[in-house]
Amino acid sequence: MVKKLTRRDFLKGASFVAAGSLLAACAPKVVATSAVATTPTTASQQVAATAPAPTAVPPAGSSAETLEFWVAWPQETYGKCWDTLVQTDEYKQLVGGQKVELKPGVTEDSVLTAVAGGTPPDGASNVNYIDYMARDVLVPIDAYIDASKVVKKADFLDAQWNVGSYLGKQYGVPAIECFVQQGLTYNEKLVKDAGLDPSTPPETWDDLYVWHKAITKFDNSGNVKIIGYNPTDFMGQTIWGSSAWDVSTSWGFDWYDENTTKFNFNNDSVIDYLNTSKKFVDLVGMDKLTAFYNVTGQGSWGGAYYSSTLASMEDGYWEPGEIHGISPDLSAVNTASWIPVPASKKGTKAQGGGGHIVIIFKGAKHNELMYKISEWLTTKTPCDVNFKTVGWLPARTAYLDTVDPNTYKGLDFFLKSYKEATYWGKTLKCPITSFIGTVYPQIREDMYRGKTTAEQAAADLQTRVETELKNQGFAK
Amino acid sequence: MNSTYSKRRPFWTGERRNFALGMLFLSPWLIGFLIWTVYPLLSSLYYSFTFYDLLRPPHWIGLSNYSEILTNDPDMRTTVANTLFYVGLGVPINLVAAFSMATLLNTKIFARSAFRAVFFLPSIIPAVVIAMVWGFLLNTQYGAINATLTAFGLPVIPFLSKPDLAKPSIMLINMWGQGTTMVIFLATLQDVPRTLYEAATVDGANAFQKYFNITIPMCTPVILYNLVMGLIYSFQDFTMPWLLTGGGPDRATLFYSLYLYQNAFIFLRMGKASAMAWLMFVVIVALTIALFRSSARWVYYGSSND
Repeated sequence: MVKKLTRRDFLKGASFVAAGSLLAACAPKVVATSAVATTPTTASQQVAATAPAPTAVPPAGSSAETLEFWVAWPQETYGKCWDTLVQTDEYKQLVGGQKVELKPGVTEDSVLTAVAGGTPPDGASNVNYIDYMARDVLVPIDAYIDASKVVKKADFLDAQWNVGSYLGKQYGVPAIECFVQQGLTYNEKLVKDAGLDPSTPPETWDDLYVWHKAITKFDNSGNVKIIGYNPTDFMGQTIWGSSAWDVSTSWGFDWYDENTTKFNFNNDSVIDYLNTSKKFVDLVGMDKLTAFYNVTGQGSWGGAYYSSTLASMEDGYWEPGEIHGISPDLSAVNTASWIPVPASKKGTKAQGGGGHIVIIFKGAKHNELMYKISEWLTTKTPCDVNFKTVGWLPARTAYLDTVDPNTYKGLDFFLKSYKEATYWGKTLKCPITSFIGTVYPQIREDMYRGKTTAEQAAADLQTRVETELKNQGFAK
Repeated sequence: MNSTYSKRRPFWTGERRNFALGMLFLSPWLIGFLIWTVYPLLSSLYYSFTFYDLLRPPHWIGLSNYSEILTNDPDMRTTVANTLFYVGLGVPINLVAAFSMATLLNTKIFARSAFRAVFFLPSIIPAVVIAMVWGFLLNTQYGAINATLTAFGLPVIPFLSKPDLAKPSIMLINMWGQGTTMVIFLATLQDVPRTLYEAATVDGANAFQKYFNITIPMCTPVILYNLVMGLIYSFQDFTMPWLLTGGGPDRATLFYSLYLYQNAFIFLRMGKASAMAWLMFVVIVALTIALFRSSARWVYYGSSND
């Protein structure tokens, strides 16, 4: 009897094929083994002897896996800079045939997910560095730096170099955007309109309160239209711990010790700050302040200042350059001065470290080339591109000396501040910075709304962070 | 001589073959269910007993996460209170609003179909768009509602900036989006037998009596369904409070789901967040069981032929 192919047999066969294909598709990828590095510099040859195992740098025209560099800055800022950088001969010579992709606008969640999923990018910048440093997912680059002819610690501002160091190891080179972090940026026109003299900026918190009281205006409905100064609008109301906290810089204390893992929040300086800042908030009212920042655009980083509804804010050196790009009218009246200090410290010229580094993830494919790119980003060509495109500056002192302070109005203060500062606030790396950055504003708001006193708030913050550090296993 | 040869039964009998074929055709869905639902569920159960920060392998800590959540987390009290307020008030208000809208739309009015479409529309608009639009409408300084109040010389209402008003404002937005629930109620209302109303009319019942003694009891099965679904949804509501207020002002809208997200992705406490998720699951299941048990007392399951 001739065996015919029945419909049932056909469906059976097709199902087996489909199931087999599905299983084959789910099979794990074969991980490529790394070859010996062939980066054509003498520094790399020295690194090979002492650095972590080098990864392959394929010859020109190869189809090796793409080097991925993720940054939180959007396409409109660093994306534009990068588009220019990749056209330079220096860049092309550096990467050879290796395909490199910049991914701008990444969120913290996406970096976390990639690392947790075992597929980290090769490098990243403008992320919560300490989260990764403290949890040992980054490549220490000390050996790379020791062998490097491009990067030496002495070439950089200490406060900025410190951003990339944690418990004795260096995890990133200060690059892209990493100059001084603190100045009182203010709008000369709004100050003048309030009958004040913009050429004599406030030096103490009491002086600043006088400005705040004179400048703050309300409309007929009682809504606040212009605010003189808002103590909560520091560093875009983001987690403050990523750089020197305005309180610790202004009052001159360290809120955390990386080596002993001890916190220092329950002290007179914090209590004094809370009481001082509450005066500013009380003038406006907490509900009205919240409503002010709920307006679309005003709640974003610097948004209220850019819309000229906030007359002054504490922010970093990048503002003159960025404001120049956002609003030429505002740029014409923008200037900066020293951050206010308590009356007892009048005369102190306080400045803060901080800024950004380029970190390299363990488990990524191109550690060495990523390092090469990060150190190249500290050199003249990339620094020129960044400064001309968005007004960002590096932490290299030699480059800073070549910058024209009159390029953007207000930049002159920041460029003189790093030489004249008498106190430098440290960038303190705490493994639970994200937790503190969430809980601190809540505790502070309770105090502003009269639910607690400044003393209770300081004590509460101390207890909360100590408990969390212990629960996360970092406390010594 | 007779043969003592015994016939062996083939392995693939018709029944086994049919079963295997059925499983084979079910396999795409089954594999997806196992990979994308069961595996994450079991993983999160495991993580709830570990310290896991997403960046390092989890390590076993037993019941510590649960103990911390139940006894040693200062924010837990606030989030639970906020969530119970939101669920306890929000769900009944939403049900009443949806049922009332359905009742009105079940009457013979001009352009009834157009009204039904208009009331249903909010439920199909993406949550992000809703948040943006309502964020503008409720804005204290420039919102349309407060601008209207100001035009009439009335004081502004700080909907989303005053702690006491933030939760009710979000509940108001949710009430506005009850189109799907309304449609379900509408279908049920149309299924109430007319003979019951006719009999009631003969007995001299007025409109209110008919509504409360016929309409509502006949809809109780669907009310139960919407109550359970509303409860489950409200406990897990994340999008609107996250987009509109981020948990503020002053933690007034810091709901359980937001706090869970903060623990998982901001504080890097995925183990604790997993424990929170399982605790919420237990609470929702317990409430659902309690509701179903209580339904014997207030849900009428009579057939339409009665």
